[in-house]
Amino acid sequence: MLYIIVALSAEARGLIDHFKLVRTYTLPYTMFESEQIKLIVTGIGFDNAMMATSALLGHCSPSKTDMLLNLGICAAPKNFEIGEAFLAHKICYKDGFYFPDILFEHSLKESDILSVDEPASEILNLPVDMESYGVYKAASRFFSTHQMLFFKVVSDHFEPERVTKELAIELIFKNLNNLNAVLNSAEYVIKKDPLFTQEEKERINSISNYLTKAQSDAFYDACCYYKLHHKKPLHLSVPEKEKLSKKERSDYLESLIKTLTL
Amino acid sequence: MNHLLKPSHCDFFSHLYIEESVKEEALTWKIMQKFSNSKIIFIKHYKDVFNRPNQDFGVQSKSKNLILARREAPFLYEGSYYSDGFEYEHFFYTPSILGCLYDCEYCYLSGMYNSANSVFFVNTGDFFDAVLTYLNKPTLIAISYDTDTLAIESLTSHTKEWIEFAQKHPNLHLEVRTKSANFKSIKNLTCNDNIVLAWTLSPQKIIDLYEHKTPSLEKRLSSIKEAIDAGWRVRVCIDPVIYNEDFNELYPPLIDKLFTTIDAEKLFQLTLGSFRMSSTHLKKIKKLRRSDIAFYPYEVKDNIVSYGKTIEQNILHVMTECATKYIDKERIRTWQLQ
Repeated sequence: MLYIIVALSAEARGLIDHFKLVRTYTLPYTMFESEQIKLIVTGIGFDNAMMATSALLGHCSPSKTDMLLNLGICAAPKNFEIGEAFLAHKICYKDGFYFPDILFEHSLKESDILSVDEPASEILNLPVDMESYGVYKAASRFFSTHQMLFFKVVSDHFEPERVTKELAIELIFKNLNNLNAVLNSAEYVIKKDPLFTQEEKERINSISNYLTKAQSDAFYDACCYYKLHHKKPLHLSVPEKEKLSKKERSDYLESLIKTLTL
Repeated sequence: MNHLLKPSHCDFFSHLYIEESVKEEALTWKIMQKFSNSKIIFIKHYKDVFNRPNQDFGVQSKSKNLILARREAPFLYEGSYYSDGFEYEHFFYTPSILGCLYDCEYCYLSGMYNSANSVFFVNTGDFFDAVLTYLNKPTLIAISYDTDTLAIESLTSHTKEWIEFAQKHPNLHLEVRTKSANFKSIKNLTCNDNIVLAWTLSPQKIIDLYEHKTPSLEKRLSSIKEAIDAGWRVRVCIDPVIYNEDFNELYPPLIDKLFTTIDAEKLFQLTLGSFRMSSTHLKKIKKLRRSDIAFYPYEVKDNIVSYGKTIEQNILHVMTECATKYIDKERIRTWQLQ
């Protein structure tokens, strides 16, 4: 699943069309989704970004192979062109900072970004937005450092009055190819094939039902050992009896572990 | 813009994190020049990056990054229970580099640190000052406990600096433990009997399976031979032995191969030991990576996981028997659960 966090509806517009997302009303936010994507419009600023991100991720419980994308426009100094996209590798806010890991090759610029509380009209020497820090703060409870992407598009050189809804839509639209490339590369690094097939998982669960918690942990470890060491499908038979005595349980576990780890 | 890049992990050190306090240091400049294509990210304190919560050690291992920092005290730690202190009253290790370029699945570092990145402390002089206070007695310092210093030598010259420091202090004994094939980086230095170069060896199959990014057995052996021929004291550590159904086919032949490559008479010591680890570290490794080593049904005693007495004794018996064909027992050291 890809979780997309944007501040403005204008930033969402191109993504809705591109990813063929449909409106959903699960949470009290403007949200869109497809089978593989959930997009939320947070509103502007640190608090809104943090609250909406928390609400979305708390509701959905992301997994180790999911990804979070915070996409948005930002102001930047003149060494960035208007419309240029970059990835943030350090997010600063007041005295705090976060460091998302960018562990995949890509062709964009990387930069620090400063999150501020008001639109920036004073010229600074690094890009500035209002949401990255809030998004990271909330999302880092749910994601590893390499699962979060901060994809920013420069909208102005600290002239917020020049930024219009139409400009935001256009700038994001023009960067959809860059976004696709980044998402593909990030997915390559994040993706992990499951260790067990669905059938194996079900079998492990059925057998674990016969065991105590500590025994089923030991059994699960032995199954992992078998799969990783032998790299073969796991064939396990469930006991014929409905219930096992304490002694039978111990003997059964011992024989399972022996078989799996020989 | 190239949208057709084939997805791949970043190269090692694609990002350099540099503490503000060391950005003007000569060594920092040297490293920055060497990695001129890397992205530079300035940080306040190395722990802000190295100790971040929710890092994925397994994924980071494929694209390790480097953090340059200034170490504050302590500069020395007492040697661990899990390793041999060679009867020195003063036995310390120095955390001057944290994290290793290599990615061995059985390494305790992945259970110990949140990050697969490496931290290099550029203020080596402060470590030397800390050592000086102990040199009224023979003192053993392991300089590659939390890292493999020789593996990163071309970047840091760290081993060289320690060896040169030891030349000036007769009570200072060093152990430089490595899996590298990088003896060439220190071969021009004068030999010193107070310094032991200790190579960890494993059968090639174990290297292929578990010791990712490390040099091959052949390369390590040829580095060992070069060091011995140059007159250095060399300890070979077949430790940890990773036990599996192929043990008898893998490990005794490794000993045979070692002694057909080097002159047994010139080997300072051979260390043998089977895999062991604190159970806390192992628990963490199970969550971090998929490795059969982590999921083996070990015996647990006093918070240490091991293969248990029977397998452990078998490992040591088989290997000692094989090794004594070549060297006397006095030069063989073993690590066993007490």
